[in-house]
Amino acid sequence: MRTKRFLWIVARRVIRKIADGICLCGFAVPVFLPVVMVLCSSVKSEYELSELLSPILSSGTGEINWQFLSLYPTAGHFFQLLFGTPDFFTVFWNSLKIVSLILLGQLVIAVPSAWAFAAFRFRGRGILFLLYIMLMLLPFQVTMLPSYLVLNRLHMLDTHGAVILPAIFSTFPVFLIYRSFAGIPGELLEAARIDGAGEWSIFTRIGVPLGSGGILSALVLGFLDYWNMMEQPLAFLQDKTLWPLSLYLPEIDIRQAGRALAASVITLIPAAFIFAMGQEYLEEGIAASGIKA
Amino acid sequence: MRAWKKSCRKYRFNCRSRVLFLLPGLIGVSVFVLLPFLDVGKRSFQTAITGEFCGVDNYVTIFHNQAFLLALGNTARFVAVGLPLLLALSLFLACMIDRGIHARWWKAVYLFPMAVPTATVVLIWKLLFHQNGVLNGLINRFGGTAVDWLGSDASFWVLIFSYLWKNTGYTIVLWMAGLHSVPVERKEAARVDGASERQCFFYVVLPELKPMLYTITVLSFLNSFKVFREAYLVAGAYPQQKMYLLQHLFNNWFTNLEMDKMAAAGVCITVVFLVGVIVLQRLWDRKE
Amino acid sequence: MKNYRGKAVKGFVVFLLIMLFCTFVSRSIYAYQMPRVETDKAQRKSISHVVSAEGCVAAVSESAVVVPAGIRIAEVCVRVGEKIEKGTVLFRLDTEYLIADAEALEDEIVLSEQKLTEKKSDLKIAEQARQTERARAKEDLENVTRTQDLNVGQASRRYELAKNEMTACSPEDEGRYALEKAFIEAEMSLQSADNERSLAILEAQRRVEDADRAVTNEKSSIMEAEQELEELQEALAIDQGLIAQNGEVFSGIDGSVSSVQISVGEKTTDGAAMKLADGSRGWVFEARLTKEQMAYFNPDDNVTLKFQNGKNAVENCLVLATNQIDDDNYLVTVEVQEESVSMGDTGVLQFSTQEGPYECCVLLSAVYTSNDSSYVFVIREIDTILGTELKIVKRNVSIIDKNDTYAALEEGSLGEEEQVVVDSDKEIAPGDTVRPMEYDY
Repeated sequence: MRTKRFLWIVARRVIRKIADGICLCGFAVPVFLPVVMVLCSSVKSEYELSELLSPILSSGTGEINWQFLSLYPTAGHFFQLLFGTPDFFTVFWNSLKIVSLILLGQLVIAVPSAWAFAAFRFRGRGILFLLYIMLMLLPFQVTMLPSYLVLNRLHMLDTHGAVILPAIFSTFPVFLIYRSFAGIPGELLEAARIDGAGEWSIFTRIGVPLGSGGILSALVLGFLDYWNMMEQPLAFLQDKTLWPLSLYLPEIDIRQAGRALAASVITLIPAAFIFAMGQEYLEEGIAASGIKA
Repeated sequence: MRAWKKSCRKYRFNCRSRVLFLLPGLIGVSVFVLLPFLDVGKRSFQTAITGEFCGVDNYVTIFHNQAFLLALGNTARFVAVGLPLLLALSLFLACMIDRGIHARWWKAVYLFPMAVPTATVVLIWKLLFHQNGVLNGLINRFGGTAVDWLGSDASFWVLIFSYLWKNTGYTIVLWMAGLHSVPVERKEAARVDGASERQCFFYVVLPELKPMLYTITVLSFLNSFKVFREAYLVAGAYPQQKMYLLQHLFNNWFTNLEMDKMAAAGVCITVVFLVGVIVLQRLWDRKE
Repeated sequence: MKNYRGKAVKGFVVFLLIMLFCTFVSRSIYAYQMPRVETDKAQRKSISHVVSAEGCVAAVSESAVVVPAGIRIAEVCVRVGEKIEKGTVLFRLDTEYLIADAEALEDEIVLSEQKLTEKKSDLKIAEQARQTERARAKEDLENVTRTQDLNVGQASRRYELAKNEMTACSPEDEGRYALEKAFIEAEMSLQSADNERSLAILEAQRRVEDADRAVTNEKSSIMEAEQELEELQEALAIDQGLIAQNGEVFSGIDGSVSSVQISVGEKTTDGAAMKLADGSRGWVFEARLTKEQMAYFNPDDNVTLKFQNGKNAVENCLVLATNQIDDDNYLVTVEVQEESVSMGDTGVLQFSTQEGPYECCVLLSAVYTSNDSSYVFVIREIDTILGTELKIVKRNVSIIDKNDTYAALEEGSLGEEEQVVVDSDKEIAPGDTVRPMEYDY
């Protein structure tokens, strides 16, 4: 009898494992499929692409005939993009510049703010934090016009500053990092204070190292978010030389799909790198931010 | 005496330096975020062009505005359907990944969509969901009837799909972190007590996940607005009815310079969010 | 884990470096293949047209040198185009031939005189005959007139009689018919007598006239003979004159030889032996102009003549006439006051006109023509991701006037500040992005 029950348990476990595997794979397919499609399409030849897209473009009645492996693969799109279109690089470096400056600024501004919320007790802390959350939740469109006017008054319109500065002061990283700072036991801080350490050294020597997971995860999330940022540059940047990558892609006509796809892949690469570099931190940070404060 | 004075001075110094932590951020936030918001609040009581005070007229207007009601309904429906779906799905998958092997790889796979730029994805969405797209092709091949994903009511599900696709990984990671934070002893204790896996899960694990739930809900809620980007790039400023979200409405109001409606609606929304956040916090977040 | 992350970091750095590299490469390729253009604005200008037409100097008037035919040329002393003065020996005739010719002429004169004398005596005889004839005819006329008158008188009397008898008799009478018939006969015979009379008189008159006229033929033939004699005598005089000059023929005017119709050793012909251009009246320059050239030509303008052979250019010459020779060509005659030119000099007629001023003129190199339409390339500034770039736009224009360097376009074809592509180092097409030409200093 025992054996039977044992077998039954093992069987259940095996079945569950298989079921798990199937489920996970099943859900993973639609998740990964789009990316694979982009990669596959980017090496298709011009002819195949136009054939592929014609049912969509010309509202033709044919069905799309999708094949994963291209019949005439070509790296031409990439070469054309990398060596023939200098405006792509302008937007690329623009994006990179904007995002790095934003992240840098957020490091300087948001981290101490989050620390202040987490480590200090002061009047109105709760309300202020609530306010921060509320501001975080606002869709961009609501405050689009007043932001425009404020930036105009500050003469920052049509410069990168119009996009960078508001993002530096975004309250979202504060929220994320707060979570991970909040996980630091208060006694540790008290002990340090009693030992005579100043606030700044407490912050730099205890807070930052312990909350590094959260900080890095906020940075990674921030990168992924701002690498795709669209609404702000569209609204605040008139000068085309200042445009980021995220605005360049929609501009490409679908008839030049090859170039659009190649550009998409290139756009994907830094995000993928950051992702690869920071996945660990991402998870750590997300975890830390999730753990009960 | 001197020690007390010293600690006082230090206290004041600390106070001052503490302020410095928050102050720059606070100033920036006030200028770039709070100020515009307050301006919006002010505008909600004014007419669009002349700026004269008109009381709650704008609020009344928007609640009679067809587009606003439609967008509000759509957005509410989207959140009501998508959010629980996302949470449930990701929790489900998180449990499975947690149980299995190669957790890291699974997480990487599911997380990756977050890294994909919107514009890239939009092309593929067009390819997939078009009337003559790949999805319809598959459906046809298996004998079903094709659905006009982008042009009919099914567009709602396109939005949901996009939302789920992008955020599942992120939410899975969060859930997994939460799952790890459940003290092992509790689970052991429950199992010893004779609880089955399912009972263990529902009665021990889930309650522990409540604070995580709060965070996840807030974050996912935040992310649900980002769906607007994909919707806009795929279907334009005036998409199919069911896809028409609040952000579409705001965008179009902005283009038509209807500031008064925008402001009133913005204030309404913020109030709703505020209430929601507070409620959630009371329910789920165990604050100090 | 750390390894993995480290690799990722390195990979990212490499990626960034690659992107940097590609940035430079793509920019340099882009700049390299971009055509460079030189541009210019439309200007307000007058288009000047310089027309050159070839022609040569001719004489205002020409005269011919005529000598008796059939004389052998001994020597030709001038060439075509040579300047001559009054008294220059043009050519020399063989005196033997002259003498022979003179003798022949003399013989002929004698014959001619004889003939004349005969004719004169003939005339006298004819004269006499005529007078006789005339008298006779006159006499005849008188006789005929008289006879006829009598006839007519008789006939009319008979007529009257018949008439009276007829009217006297009443219409019912039997004899009336016979009377009527007799009346009619009488009438007819009266008429015929009248006719006869007229005819006879006419004929007699004619005979008189004939007699008068008979002499005119003789008279005219005498005149002919006299003329002939005169001509012969003249020719003889010429021959004798030439003989006296030793066969040399002189020029009677200043000028130059315009054409020579004779050659040494041959006999002269009836036409002009030489044609001389009369230099005293001045020269003209004749040039051939095409229709397009004529379009710019204004007869009131002054033209410049340029000559070869180092002779001076003559300016401000007056145009005398323009004639259309055929569909495409015109002949323009210009007065030449210059002394140094001579007959037959070739040269070039030049004049320049200025059309305009036109509001919109560009360099001709900026205008391209295909089939019947013309276009220019205009630069437009557009804002792109790379900054302000210059793009080429095609603009159709119509040319109203042009010369070798400039073309005038219809007003309003180009804006005031618009830049037109004048030159480019590569082929350009509408939509191309270009940049300004750089010069090596």
